[in-house]
Amino acid sequence: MDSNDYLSVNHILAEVSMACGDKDFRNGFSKGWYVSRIQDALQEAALDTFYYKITDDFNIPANLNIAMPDNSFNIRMMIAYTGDCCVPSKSAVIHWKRNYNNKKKVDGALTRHQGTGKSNTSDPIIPSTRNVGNLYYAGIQDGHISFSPAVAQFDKVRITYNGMGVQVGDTPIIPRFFERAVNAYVRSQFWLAKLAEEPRKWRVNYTDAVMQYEKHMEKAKLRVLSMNSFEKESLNEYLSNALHK
Amino acid sequence: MATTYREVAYSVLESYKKTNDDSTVQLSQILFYIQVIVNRLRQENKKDISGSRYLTIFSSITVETDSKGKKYIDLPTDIMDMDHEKGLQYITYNYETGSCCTGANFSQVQFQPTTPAESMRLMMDEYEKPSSKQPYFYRVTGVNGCNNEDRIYFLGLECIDVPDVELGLVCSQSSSQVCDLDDAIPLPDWLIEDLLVRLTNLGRFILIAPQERVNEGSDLTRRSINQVPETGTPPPTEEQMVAAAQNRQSANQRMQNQIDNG
Repeated sequence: MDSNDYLSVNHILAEVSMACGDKDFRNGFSKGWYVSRIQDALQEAALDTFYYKITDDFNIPANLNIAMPDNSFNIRMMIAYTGDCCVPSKSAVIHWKRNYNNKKKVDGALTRHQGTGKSNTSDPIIPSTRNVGNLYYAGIQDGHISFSPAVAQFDKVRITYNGMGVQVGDTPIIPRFFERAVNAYVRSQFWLAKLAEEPRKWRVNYTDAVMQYEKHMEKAKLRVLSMNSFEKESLNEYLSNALHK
Repeated sequence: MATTYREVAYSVLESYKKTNDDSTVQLSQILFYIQVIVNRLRQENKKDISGSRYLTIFSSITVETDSKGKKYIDLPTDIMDMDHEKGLQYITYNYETGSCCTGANFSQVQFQPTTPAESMRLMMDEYEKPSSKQPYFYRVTGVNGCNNEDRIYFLGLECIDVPDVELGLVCSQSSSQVCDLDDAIPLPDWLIEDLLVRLTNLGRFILIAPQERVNEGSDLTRRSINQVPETGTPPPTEEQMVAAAQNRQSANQRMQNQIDNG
């Protein structure tokens, strides 16, 4: 995300509480309820736009199986390394392997394409692949990452993944370009909750708020997609050079 | 210059005497009526009267702990009963120092209203859970019996020691609170007219009520139907019956004579 500008939770609360007619937080909704909805809004934005990218280091355990980090979804890249990351001679990119799962086993693993065994020798379609014991791959199932046996020679793995925001309970971090979308989301949830008490009275407010949210969320998505000009221009330059040589 | 108790009370007393010159309504009764109606008017017009207009601040109320370790305070005065405990405008304490009277303003923590039943839901959300940074309060009016306590219990202060809190209350009007007739009536000027009208109406009702209970000896059971009682024709006396028979006989005789004479 090409942005390092964030808003405080109070900034959002100041506007939302006014828009919802709850300036003194005495409308049956606690301040924490609003903060919780702000976190929900950011989670929705993260899942819709993949704006939140995180890179973190983890130890490689003996069983070569680690749980995905908290609040993560969508692993983007993994590099195993020893010592400092990421000296080429002491690191390796880990590739994805379909259906690979080493749960409870390190030497053998459940995978259609057997890397080191001989079980597939008579299979004409997917034969055994010999001498691949030193390949570095992994599979992800049920929130767990299974590494291939060769990854065991490294101490650590650096994983880049998308996050859903902060840990639930921590103060939400609100990117500035999501301000309108977050505001609109909280308002829509406010009127939704009011709807439970008096459906006829608040339906119009709720419908309006949902329309606002949808509009602002679409704008936010466009903004995220329009970002990363640095990468885009570099890529354009690279491709244009390649084409015109 | 705001309207005083003296002005309203004597004005109303004068009005009462004009209609009932023998009324024995006392000034203290009028003051009681004023307080009752002021409370009512403030409740009815709470949307138009800013919450802070009648704010009373108690800067340091000692926090007590009951036998089960729950922290509470006793309300120092009666407050207005409003939705979401708006009669309790605020309760704060200083998170950094644990005292309400010191420390920077930004570190003051405000308590939010809840009820014991609603607090169960609060515990389910990480962001709403009561804590020392996000404390709640609930009001209790009886402890081990319906004994009209007015107590505020706190949620979220279980793990810290808070000696005192600051309160901002909207007080209700008690009849015993009128110490000086020249005090201003705690009501906006634009509601004084309503106060006078209601006082007059109340007085009219009160002055009529004793009259209604007097037993005058008359039967008023059918009074509400508003009908004139019906009286039947009395039966004829013997003389009247004889006279009527004679009249009928003489009339018959006259008819017979006319027939005979052609």
